[in-house]
Amino acid sequence: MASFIILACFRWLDRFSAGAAAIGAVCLVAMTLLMLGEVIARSVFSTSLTFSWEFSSYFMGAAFFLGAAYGLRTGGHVRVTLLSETVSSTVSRFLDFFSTVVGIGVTFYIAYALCDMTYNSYKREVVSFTPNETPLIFPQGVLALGGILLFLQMLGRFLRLVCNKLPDAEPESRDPGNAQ
Amino acid sequence: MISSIATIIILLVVLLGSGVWISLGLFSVGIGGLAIFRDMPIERQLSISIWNTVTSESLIALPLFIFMAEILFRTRLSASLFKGLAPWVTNLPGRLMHINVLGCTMFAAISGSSAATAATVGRITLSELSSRGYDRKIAMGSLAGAGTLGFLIPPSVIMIIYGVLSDTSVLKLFIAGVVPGMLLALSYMVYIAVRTVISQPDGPREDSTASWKERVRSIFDLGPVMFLILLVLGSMYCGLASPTEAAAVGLFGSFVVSGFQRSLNWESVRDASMSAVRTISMVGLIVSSAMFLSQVLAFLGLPRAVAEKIAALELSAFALVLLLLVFYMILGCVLEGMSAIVMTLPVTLPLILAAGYDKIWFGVFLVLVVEMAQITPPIGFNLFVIQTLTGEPIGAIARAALPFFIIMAIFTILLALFPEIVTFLPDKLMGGGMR
Repeated sequence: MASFIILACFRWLDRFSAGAAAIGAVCLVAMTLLMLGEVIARSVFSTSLTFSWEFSSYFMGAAFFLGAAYGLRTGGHVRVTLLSETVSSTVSRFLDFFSTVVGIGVTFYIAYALCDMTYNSYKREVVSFTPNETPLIFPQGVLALGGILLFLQMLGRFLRLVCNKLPDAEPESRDPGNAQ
Repeated sequence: MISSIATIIILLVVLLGSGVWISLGLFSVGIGGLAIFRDMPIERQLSISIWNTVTSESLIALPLFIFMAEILFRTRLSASLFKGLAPWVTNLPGRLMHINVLGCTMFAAISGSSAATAATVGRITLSELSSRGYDRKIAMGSLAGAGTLGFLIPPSVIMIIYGVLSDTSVLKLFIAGVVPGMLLALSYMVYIAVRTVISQPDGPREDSTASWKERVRSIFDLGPVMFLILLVLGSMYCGLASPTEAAAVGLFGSFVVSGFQRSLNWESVRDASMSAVRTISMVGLIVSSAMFLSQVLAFLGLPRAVAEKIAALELSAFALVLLLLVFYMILGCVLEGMSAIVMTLPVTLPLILAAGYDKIWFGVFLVLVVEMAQITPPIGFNLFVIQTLTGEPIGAIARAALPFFIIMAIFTILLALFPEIVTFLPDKLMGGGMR
């Protein structure tokens, strides 16, 4: 029964991570459209859209953080594997445990810091220094959400290691180009 | 001061060495450094630093260029590049082998990353070359080497990141990369020509010299790439668009090319955007962690302390550059190039500025260093790409790439002796002085 619940949690976590990354992909497309809009506005109508740069930058931050958990799950974040490939499997398993524990700690702290920033922006009704006066709670909240998801995925990774499951999944679409 | 330097270095080595994800490792070291040596609200510092980096407007070009590379990877651009370039190189010694270099040079002018360049060009060239009886080793090596031009020839993801971290004009960096990129490509071609004459004097069979009719026809095959180069570089250099806007225009152009080649469909766009998000999230986290760490190091006064120590050695400017080159070569073996740069920049940039080199020059120097790191084992993304393409072991690919590594190293030393190779074009086009 317990293992059934854990498996269901893993599945939902993966779905949320992939879903967040998909929203990140939409942000990417939105950035592109905003910048294209800016180019057209500048070259054809010789005016500038007041919001394109600002909103593009929010979308970029969102894409960075919304893709983070999915990236972790699919082995997209780079790490040094030199040592773990040369030592015995027991030691390399220990190293993976160690990195994951450090990962849990630091992602928790990042998620906490981002939530704290969002909460402060909410409490003090902080808006951006631009004519749009965007309430910063929204773009910052998205970062916080991505941070929380990254922390949860890291926690899931730890559980997978404990249960002797493969910690990293293959991404759905694999190509050599995505090694930046 | 010694104790804080030692603590930071030990933390870095232990965390990164045991396999902590590079971005998370840098964040940990930064947080740890502040917690141990300074009494301040760390979470404030951390969240503001992350927020400022991930919403920095000069970084916007980065995700766009990565997305563009993913779209282009899924088109038939590499096949048309091969077909279009083939008739032009049949007269040269080394013949079709030059397509790797020329293809990468052209593709580098629309792609900001080196692994994407190697992957896209190599998809077609490697199998075509080996089925025509070309030396496999030179084919793999030249692809690994020439693929790295993706970073040097603008647009360049590394230059965008360097521009943000060092507060340098990205456009100026883009202009500065052109001449060194062309010269490096030329050196590769000379090497390939000499090497093929020695190892395969008769040349592979079946190729005949192309006629002018074939050459005229090939221009149509090169059309899509030319169109994209015109969009991206043309719009930037004519002053119509900033690097970021050029990225958006290029992305639009890639969709158009993809549509014309009938590879534009829901599936390819979905795969490309998901794959791009995965990559940009990795890069974005690394850049923000490096930015945070560099602020922490500045708080601790570390860069100045190291700079004073190095200054006490009284090295000449050239000796300092050689020292950094060796340092980065070693670092590039264990670390992936971009990470190596972002984590060392807060210390090395002030050093090099004090030695009298300018920021633009150092940017190009670092790009070359990253390129070398791309093809040094055990961690080198271009080697991984070629491994995926060919299934050969990393060691064999690295050996094949070694001559190109050496060419790059010599070339970098040449740039240190004659910095004007880098700086004359941006100074001429955009006025002198550094920024």
